[in-house]
Amino acid sequence: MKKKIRLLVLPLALGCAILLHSCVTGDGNESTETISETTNEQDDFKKEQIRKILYTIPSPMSMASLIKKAGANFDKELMNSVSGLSNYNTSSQQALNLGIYGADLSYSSMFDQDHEAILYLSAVQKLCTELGIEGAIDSNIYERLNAHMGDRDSVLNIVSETYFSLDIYLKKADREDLLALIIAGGWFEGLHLATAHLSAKTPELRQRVAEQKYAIEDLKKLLDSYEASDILTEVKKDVNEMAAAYAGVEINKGKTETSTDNSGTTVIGGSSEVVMSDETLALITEKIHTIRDKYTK
Amino acid sequence: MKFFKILLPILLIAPLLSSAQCRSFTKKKCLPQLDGYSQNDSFNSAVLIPGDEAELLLTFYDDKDYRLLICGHPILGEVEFEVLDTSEQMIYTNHSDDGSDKGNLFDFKVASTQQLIVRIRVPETETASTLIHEGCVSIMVGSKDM
Repeated sequence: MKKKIRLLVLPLALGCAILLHSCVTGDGNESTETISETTNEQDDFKKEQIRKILYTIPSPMSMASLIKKAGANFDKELMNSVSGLSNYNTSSQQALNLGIYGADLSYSSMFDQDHEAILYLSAVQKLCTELGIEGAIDSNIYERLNAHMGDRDSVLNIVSETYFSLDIYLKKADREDLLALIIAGGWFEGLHLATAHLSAKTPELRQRVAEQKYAIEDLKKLLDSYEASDILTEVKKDVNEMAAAYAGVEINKGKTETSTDNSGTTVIGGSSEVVMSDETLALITEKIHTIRDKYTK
Repeated sequence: MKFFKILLPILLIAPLLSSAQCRSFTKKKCLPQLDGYSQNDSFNSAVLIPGDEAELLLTFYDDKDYRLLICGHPILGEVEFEVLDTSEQMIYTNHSDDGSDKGNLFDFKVASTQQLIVRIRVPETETASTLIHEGCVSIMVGSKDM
């Protein structure tokens, strides 16, 4: 009997079941049944949603890259000042602002603002300590960052590696609810920065903002998969308001076709089109700035 | 009773070791295959057994070249994978009709931003052994600007 795993991290009980069966008895079909029985469907759903979100929502680094590529100039004032760090006293505030500072770290790194990057890395590390997850950050991170100042690719790799380590650490520590808040914070800040940089000269960035419609639906599903708490209820309400603002964005999906370009690379085509009016953009921009300001004050 | 005193710590620790080994496997064996691409920031691995399937939905943007890497422990054999659009129309599979394998990499780009489904399957083993092999499978996406 085959089973389908909708993703990917196996709970402790499942691991025990596999080990027990492999070591003690050893029939494949029975083992499969045991796995099905011991898997907690609710837990799996959460893990699946988180997994999906991590790939569906552009990472803070990805959004910063889009802003840079659009030809925008760095604007320090758009970031959440690290001077407000001490204002975040609850774990939910800290997790949300860890995501927000993480997005600012990506933004400053992408624009070669090494001094700012160090400041925001420090803020990220302090919030990790406050949250009891300081082990997520490489203890040599400052030395490595200092050693590669001025080398954007290396700095970006270090920042990207930091996210990767944080992601691994929180999954290992079974703190994926915290990860969900960090993801939400990073997404809020990334969209805030992107919309703040929009102008007539940045049509590609505008398109990327419109395409966040893909992400907002997944963010809703992720947060809905957790039991209600005060902060989650508030974040859910804000995400629902963002989703309402995105309701005016149309996705027209056509038939998918594939071809090969001159270099031999497969090109996946089709007539997928994402359309956003000026009015919808104005609504999205107003809403994201309001939400982001609420969490950063 | 003594048996369980010995077994219980093993049961509790082993999955953690397995998870740690999966992370180590991903960093050492999989990441190098994304050379030249920027890795996605998230970690997507699982310990799977023959017959397991997994799938996930990803968004790809039209301004990048992508490398999709399915990196499985050799003990699991050649992990099969498919790329489908959201209406489940097949776009790519690494498993040919003649049974040959096209490898664990898929390099591509998208003409317009879209979501795609990646589905993986660990092949069933055809051995007389009753021992079930489990191994790490990582799904990784690398990208670079066009």
